[in-house]
Amino acid sequence: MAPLEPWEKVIVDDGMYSEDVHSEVACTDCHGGVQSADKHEAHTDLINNPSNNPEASCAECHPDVVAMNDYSLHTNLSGYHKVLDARADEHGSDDEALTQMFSNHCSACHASCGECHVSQPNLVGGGLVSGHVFNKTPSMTQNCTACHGSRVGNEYLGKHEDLRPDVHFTQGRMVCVDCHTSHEMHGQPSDCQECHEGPEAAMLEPADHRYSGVQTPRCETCHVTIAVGQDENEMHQEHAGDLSCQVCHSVSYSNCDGCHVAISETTGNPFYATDGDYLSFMIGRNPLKSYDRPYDYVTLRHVPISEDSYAYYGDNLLPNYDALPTWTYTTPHNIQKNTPQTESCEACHNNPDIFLTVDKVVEDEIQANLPVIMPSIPMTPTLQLMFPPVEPIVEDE
Amino acid sequence: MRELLQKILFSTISIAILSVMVIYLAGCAGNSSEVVSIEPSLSNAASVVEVANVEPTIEPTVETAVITPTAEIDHCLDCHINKELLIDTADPEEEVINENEGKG
Repeated sequence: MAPLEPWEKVIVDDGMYSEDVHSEVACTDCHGGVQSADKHEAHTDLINNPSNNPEASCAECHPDVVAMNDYSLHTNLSGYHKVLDARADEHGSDDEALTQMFSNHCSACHASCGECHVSQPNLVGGGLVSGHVFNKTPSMTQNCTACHGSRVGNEYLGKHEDLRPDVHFTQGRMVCVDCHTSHEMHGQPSDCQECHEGPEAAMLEPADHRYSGVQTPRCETCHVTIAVGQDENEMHQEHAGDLSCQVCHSVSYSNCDGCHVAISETTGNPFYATDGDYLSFMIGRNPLKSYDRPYDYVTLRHVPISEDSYAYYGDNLLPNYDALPTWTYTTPHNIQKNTPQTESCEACHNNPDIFLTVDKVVEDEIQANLPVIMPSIPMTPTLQLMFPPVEPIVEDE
Repeated sequence: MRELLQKILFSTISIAILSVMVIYLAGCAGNSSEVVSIEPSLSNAASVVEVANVEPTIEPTVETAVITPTAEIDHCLDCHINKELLIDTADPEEEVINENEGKG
């Protein structure tokens, strides 16, 4: 995405903005500053992003939304803290060195109200999207995929060579918010029972990660009969509920290796460097098997966490590195009706290429990935009788 | 042919002038206030007394408040809706060196 020119970032569309209800609020009420014809005087104590403090700037008119804001993963970055806590020592992500690291390299992913509804994310340089008009529906390209671009955006829009875009985009003309509603984005209470009744509400865990809590969005919400094997497709009848939908209907997606972060000695700016990225498709065991994600097998994506990813900030900051797999539960946004997997049963069964077996895992990561490594390749019933599965041999440390 | 065109032109102009005058006169027309007065009847002395005690009803003149909008000077928008002004007053652009390697 091309960066905005400096003037583009701050220009207000007088005609369109005057129709926006927010234009009834004086500029200085939200942005601070002083009414003056002199630029420097006018920008005294200027607040560039008022919605960084939504209680002060947004709550008066949007109290219900602001009340949920702290629960939003875009606000609290809870998912990052969760995985850091799991791999770090007893101090978790509160460790002083990790706190500094997080501040320098991770906190930029925090998204305020304005970074979805009126401007581009600061992560990509900020700037007004529609002349300061507030968009109830964030732009897919200028907001959502501005941050979620290297994986989701590229997959969904078909930017990988020889790979088609997601069918929900090409056929359904759907954008992000068609599935990822404001209910998900704005945050939900940690206890679902605060709003919902029934046994399901009691069984759902709080959402402290993108793949925890209620599965939203969920394929089955729209594809009801297919998901429960009530259509005529024999694969659906056989595998509904056992496999995540992406196992059959996704294609190759981005994976990354070895991200290391540091502060540049030249510029003093934070930066990262990955060992590499590549397209791959891997099926493995579900590391997050739960009431809401009951699948036995799911698609897995390699994430670029290494034991020394944060070595710049200290030694051995991830003593529990093996606590979580490096091949993680993933939901690639490149869904196709027909994929190599749907061609026949044998496309998967007896096909070792698409299953995460121990030989495909880097030696240093085997221990961490034991929960997801396939002990054997699923075979057709006939071959299964001839070649029973063999448990992988793991050497004790 | 030429005379015909001149006649048509003259008629058009006349109609236009008349239309303007009608609109102007309509705007100048004001509402006349009715003054109701009760004349006492000589045939009934009592009613004359009663009527005499009735004060004439006069329609009160409604004073319409004249709102003069105060001109609010919004220096913020004066600048921020003006592309050329934004370009002229922009701070020098700092070169951002991207030292990241690989996908974020």
